[in-house]
Amino acid sequence: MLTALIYISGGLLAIILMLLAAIIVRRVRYDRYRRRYQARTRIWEPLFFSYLEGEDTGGRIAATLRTEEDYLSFVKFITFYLKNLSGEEAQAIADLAFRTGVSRRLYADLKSRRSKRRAVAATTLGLLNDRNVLPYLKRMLEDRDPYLVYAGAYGIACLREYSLFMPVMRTLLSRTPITYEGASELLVRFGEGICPTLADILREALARYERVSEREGEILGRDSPAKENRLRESPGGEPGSGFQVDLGDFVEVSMLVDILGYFRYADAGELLLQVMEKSGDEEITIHVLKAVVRLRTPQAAHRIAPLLDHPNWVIRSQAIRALGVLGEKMYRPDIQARLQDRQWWVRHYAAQALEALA
Amino acid sequence: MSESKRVLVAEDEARLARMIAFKLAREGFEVIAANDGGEALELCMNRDVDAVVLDVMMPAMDGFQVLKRIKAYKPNLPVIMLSARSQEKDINYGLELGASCYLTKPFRPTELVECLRRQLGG
Repeated sequence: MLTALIYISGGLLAIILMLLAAIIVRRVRYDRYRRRYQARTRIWEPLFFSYLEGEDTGGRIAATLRTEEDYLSFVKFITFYLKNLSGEEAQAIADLAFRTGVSRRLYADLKSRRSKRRAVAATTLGLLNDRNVLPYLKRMLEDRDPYLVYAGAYGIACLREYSLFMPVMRTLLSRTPITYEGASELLVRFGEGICPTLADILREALARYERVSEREGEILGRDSPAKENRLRESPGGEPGSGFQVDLGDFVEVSMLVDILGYFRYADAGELLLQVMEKSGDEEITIHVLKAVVRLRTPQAAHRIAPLLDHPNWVIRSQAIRALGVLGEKMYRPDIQARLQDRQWWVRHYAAQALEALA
Repeated sequence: MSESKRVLVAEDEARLARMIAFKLAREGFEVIAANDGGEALELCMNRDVDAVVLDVMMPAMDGFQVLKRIKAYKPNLPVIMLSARSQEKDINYGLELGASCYLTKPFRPTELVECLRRQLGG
């Protein structure tokens, strides 16, 4: 018994020591890599800035890219500037990537066995605005690895390929562990040019809802038994390239509402109010109220006011907030009554709204 | 005219700060750098600067607090704000506080120079 305990203890101790050794070795290697990276960036930075000013052709930078690590470090180096710069400077970086052979290496990495290399290549080529990478990115959306799915989605968003917006959203929500906020942050990378398309999708959803309601009296609500996979072929398009939402798809609809609100797409104001009223979904209602605040839709106040008595306190508080921002003074007495609400947040927003309406 | 203009660049992201400083120096501006809001305010008050390029998200004191105090003491000092895309509402707030110009990231350094020249009459 004692012998067994000694052996077990010895074994555990050995495992712990091996883990510690692995951590230390990993840390030492990482520190060495970091020092080498910093040494490289100290060389690249002035050359890079000179190149952006048109004082250098990029040849001196190209001469420093000899090893695999040089190339990977340079990709990391330019990625920071690609995320922070736009216009002619961003285009100059793309030209530099081509001239130094970085673009060629990135394409080679798209076929790498290592998923991290493929992911980095996909996102970097997207940031470089290289549209030749699109077929690879589309295939990545179908990958089993959620990390690669995300990288493909990110690249497509950077390229602002509007035709792939809905497949990207569908894939992100269903096949990656990404949070709602993370998905929204990625999707806004498509840019405000996507707004008319999103508005059309919501319009179609509204029109379908009204047709169905009229014909069959069925409400396509969240728990409707008719809710099914909405993936359909677009007319004349490839399978899966088209996508429709119904008002019962509260997650997707909320996301479209958020993006329209983020870009302050004023043309969608009335549409969003109709979506809110027809769906009756609480989640959608909350998102529409937040969007309406940004859109400052005229006459929205009169459609929002009935929500001051909603049983859901979040909706009450967002409705009050919206009325405060929209500046409709006739609702001051109703908001004032909410100072006695049982929920703190409702009282808080009521006080803020009254101050705004003073 | 631009050769004598001194610009304070308040940006906590060192790489971006160096890039902006390089660009402005090439355009003939004299550049002073600050790494956080507190340092930016101190330099602005104690040094003779002609314009400020101010990031929003900075440690110690954010760009809005710095802007408020700058405008309280030097209301005519041009301040150009830099803001990340997701903080669009902050840009409107900055304009209300008196920022002369705003740029959202990702931004064009050339546009930053154009903003500065407009504000400095160059």
